[in-house]
Amino acid sequence: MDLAEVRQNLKELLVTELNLEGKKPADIDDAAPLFGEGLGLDSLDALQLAMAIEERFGVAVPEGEAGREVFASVDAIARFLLGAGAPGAR
Amino acid sequence: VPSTRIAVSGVGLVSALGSSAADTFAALIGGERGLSPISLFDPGDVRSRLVGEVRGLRPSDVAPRGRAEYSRTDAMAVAAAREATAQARLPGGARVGVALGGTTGGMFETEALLSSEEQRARVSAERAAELVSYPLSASLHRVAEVIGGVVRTRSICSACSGGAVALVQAAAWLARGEVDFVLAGGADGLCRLTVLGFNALGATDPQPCRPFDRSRAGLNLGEGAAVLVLETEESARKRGADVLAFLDGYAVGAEAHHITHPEPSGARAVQLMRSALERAELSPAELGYVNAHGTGTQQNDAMEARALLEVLGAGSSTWVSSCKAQLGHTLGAAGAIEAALTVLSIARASAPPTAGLTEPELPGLRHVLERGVAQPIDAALSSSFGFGGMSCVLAFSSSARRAPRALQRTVRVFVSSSALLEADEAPEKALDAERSRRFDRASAQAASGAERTRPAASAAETGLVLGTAFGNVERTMAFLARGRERGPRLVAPAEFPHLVPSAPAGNASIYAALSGPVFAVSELAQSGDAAFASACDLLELGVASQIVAGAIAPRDAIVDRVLGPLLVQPGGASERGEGAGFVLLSTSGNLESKPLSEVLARYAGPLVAGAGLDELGAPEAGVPSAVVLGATDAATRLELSRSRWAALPVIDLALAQQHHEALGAQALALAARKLESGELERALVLSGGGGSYAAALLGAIVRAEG
Repeated sequence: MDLAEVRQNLKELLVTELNLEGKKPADIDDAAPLFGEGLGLDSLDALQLAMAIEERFGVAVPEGEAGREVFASVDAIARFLLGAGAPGAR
Repeated sequence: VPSTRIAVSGVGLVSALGSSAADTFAALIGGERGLSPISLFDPGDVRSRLVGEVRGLRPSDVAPRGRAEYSRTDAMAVAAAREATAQARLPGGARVGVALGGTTGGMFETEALLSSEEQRARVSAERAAELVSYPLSASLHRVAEVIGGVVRTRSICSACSGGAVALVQAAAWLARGEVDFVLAGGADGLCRLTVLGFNALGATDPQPCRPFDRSRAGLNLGEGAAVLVLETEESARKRGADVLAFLDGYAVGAEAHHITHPEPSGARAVQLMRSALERAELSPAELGYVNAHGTGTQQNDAMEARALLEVLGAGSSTWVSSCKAQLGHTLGAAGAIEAALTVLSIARASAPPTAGLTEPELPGLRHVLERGVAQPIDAALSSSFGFGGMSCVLAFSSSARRAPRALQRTVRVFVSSSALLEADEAPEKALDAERSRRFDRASAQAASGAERTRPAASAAETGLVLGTAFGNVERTMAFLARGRERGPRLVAPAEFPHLVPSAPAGNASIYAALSGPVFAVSELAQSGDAAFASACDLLELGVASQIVAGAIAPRDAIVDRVLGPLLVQPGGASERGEGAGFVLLSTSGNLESKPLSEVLARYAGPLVAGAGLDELGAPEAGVPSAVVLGATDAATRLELSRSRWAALPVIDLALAQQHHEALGAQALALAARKLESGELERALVLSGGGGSYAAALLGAIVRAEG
């Protein structure tokens, strides 16, 4: 998978896993912040997303500060997954 | 004038530190910890296996002969009730109420039975008796059966504060004079659901937890039960009972903030502590001890320490501690266990420590460290803060303190609005998609009903008491199945908070911004009537001035097929349907929304010829009146036919519809609507089954012409 494909996969995952009613994957900006402002997700969403990413891509998102950096945006998550050689992103 | 001061005359407690209140308290004071790796089941790859488990508990040893299907939760509740009644020397022939808080009931035993399609098919055919442990109200009925003389029961779930709310319900029954004694408490057993759920939330600490410590890293789960015997001071004095402490103050309220996170400023916690103190006529400086909620999580303890500092003041001499580092967090039992320990701290003049606390995060509070301290305590608080912001604070005093002024007021309860959700209605369609994105049908029913009945401008002062019999069984079993098939790391964290029976109440309170008392009650087919009764009780007690009372009954494949038979009333419909009903109740005459009808009289209790229905009076000639029936069995209808109300026309929801646990609430909503429209001027709303019934006489408010 290339970066664009991973990002697309992630957006689909966000919409289904977090029940983003009325939102389409295409509505989500690659670079926009996911939490607080931007998509307006909360820490319960972060836990759900971390679980779903681990299930879908086979890589655990680190906890703490490193995890916060990974979760900055769709783009940041995609780059982390490719960098980690995630089995689900090959 | 009879005193309404509430005395505690007995305490029973089962915990990881002992099988009695005395053993538990002694171990707590000594600084012992009851935490060890879980032995009940293999939780798999979880962050922490450390729990406060009650070792050596054999439900069959506690259960009366022939009651093999006791759950661990049932056994702990009954053991605590027996200890408490023995200490109080509960006399025979008394009228007794039982109010119990909890969250999981017989989940540990039934999660295996309900886990797969194959198991469920087998259960419905052969082992239905084992499922009587599943509903939250199961332990309550065990206690009632063993104690005897029980005329009132109420099963309460407000996540981790239910055990404390049970004591407020007890105070209401005693103030109304409906009972002579109340056994109030809570019980919650460990199960896979809570172990997997708190693990998924990242809320558990692999090490023994350290409440209020700078290095705290989460909670340890626990299990246990506590039951307190409450009676009026007058009753205790008359029979020469030893009074351990008085329950002089209480406050129940919600944050309406988030389903798992406390509101960080602690503003609501401050208000509730102050409100409990005010009711008890105590100043913060008079408090000898505060038994804090103190879970060991970042968010609770930061919020709570801030709130405590604001209430007590920096440098206060009041001792503060949390017992969760020694007992684990016992969820629905915690509020009752901590109430019992607070009573004992007054009776034994010593305060237990916060084990594991070495470096408090916030300076200014006087924490009890390592071991208990010996010191006379004349007044103490016990705080409980649950998921969804559902909170309760209790204030206890010693007999050295004077009684607070008894409430001598006549309270009228009005109905201001109503909502009836029909079976074919899709409540989620009426809600904002973004704010309700995690809701299931149950939460959608609750939020929609609350939204339609709440007073818009004064929602913050309005509570919500919600009847719900089972919680979301389908979603719970799907959650557990993922844990079993994919491992604990891959269960859905965002699902878990929605699986507690009080989740629909919490979600609705957040959605509709209701910050008054919020909790769920479970009483099988009578859940709607129980919610109405508790809401009226709290209004009369002055704990709130406006409450939405209602009940939900969402479709659920497992409830419909497997648990549904537990709801069937002899002589009623056999198919389970769905629906919900709500009424806004209030006490004040200057309401934002105009009162449309009034609760003229109500009765809840056993079916006794000549009592109950006739206590409500009789129909008046020339006044358009009708009887509206919710869930009723043949015995209740027979009782109606023998009463003075027999000649009135009957609207029978139980016959007109499939049965479900919200029929009582729908009957109330329908009656309110007919009184509002002028079609009726009086409505007798009646539900009943299993030898007890609930009745309310509603009257239209007739405005003078011109």
